[in-house]
Amino acid sequence: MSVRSGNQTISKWDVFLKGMRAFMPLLVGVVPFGLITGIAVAQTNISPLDGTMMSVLVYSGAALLVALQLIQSGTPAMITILSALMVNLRFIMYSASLAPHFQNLSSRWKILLSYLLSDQAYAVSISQFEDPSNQKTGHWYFLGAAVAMWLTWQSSLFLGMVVGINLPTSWSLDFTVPLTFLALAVPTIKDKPSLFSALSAGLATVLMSGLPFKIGVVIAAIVGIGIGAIMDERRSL
Amino acid sequence: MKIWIIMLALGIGTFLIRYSIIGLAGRIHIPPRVERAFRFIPASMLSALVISQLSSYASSATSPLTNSYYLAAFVACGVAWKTRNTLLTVFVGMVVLWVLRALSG
Repeated sequence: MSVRSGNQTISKWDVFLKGMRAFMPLLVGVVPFGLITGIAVAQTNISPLDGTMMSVLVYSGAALLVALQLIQSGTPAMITILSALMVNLRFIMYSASLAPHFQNLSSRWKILLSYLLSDQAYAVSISQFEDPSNQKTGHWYFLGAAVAMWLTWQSSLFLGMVVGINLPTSWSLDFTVPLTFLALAVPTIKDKPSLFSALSAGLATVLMSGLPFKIGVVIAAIVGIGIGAIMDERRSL
Repeated sequence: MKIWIIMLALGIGTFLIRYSIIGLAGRIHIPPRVERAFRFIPASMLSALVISQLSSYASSATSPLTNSYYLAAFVACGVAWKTRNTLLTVFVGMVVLWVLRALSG
């Protein structure tokens, strides 16, 4: 970027780098999770190169892992897509939260920032947007954090896949897939309604395990969401 | 290839979820009730997936109570609850699985 084009350019670039730096503390959590997800992806017989291409296309570790696992177990395409997308529905909340701050940006910016939207980029930048003095440059900060996250994620995932395909099958590393989801599921339980939401979804999954094509998983999740919402409504009365 | 068609659909779907409200420039307002229900998506969807994945490790040879995979998952669940640490959860779960299998010969 040219320095001659004035302070505006320099300050945008500075804000971008500031966003990147703000992401750095999260490396400690993202890198191991990328590695472990990569190892799990490798257990579904996907080459590191294909896996990386898929991960660029579907920029969501959990959705990618769900899809690959369901494909491997012969689940029909529609159910696979539906299950994997359900995992990502939470992004609607982030989208709603960021929308007012992205309102005046061009479509190109909105598309770019939407693609890059991750839990980590959101967490790092949302407080920036709430400070009115950052209104003009907030999206550069977000871009910095989001790009740092993207690069970190893709490279640690790739490394995990390379390691994963070279480890012996006798280690039963396929079991890292359910363990990874377990490690993601448990911290989402924060209070009584979410606990009952999780328990009822789990129980419903067992009860509906006889249903074909793993459709039971989707129905069970909807049951769980319903139970959680009902308990929440009652509590707030 | 079928897998790439699924990935393409998933990529577009994932993007559209993220773009949804941003693309509408905040013109659409999510009713608070629906927004509150959204909070339960991760807990219930991930739990349903875990249970579904674990069920593929069921074995007719052993009862669920002596299934090494189930016991390892149970311990991992405790670790996740106490530490909220992804890597530690997966690591402990795998170690417990290996130890149990070594013990049962």
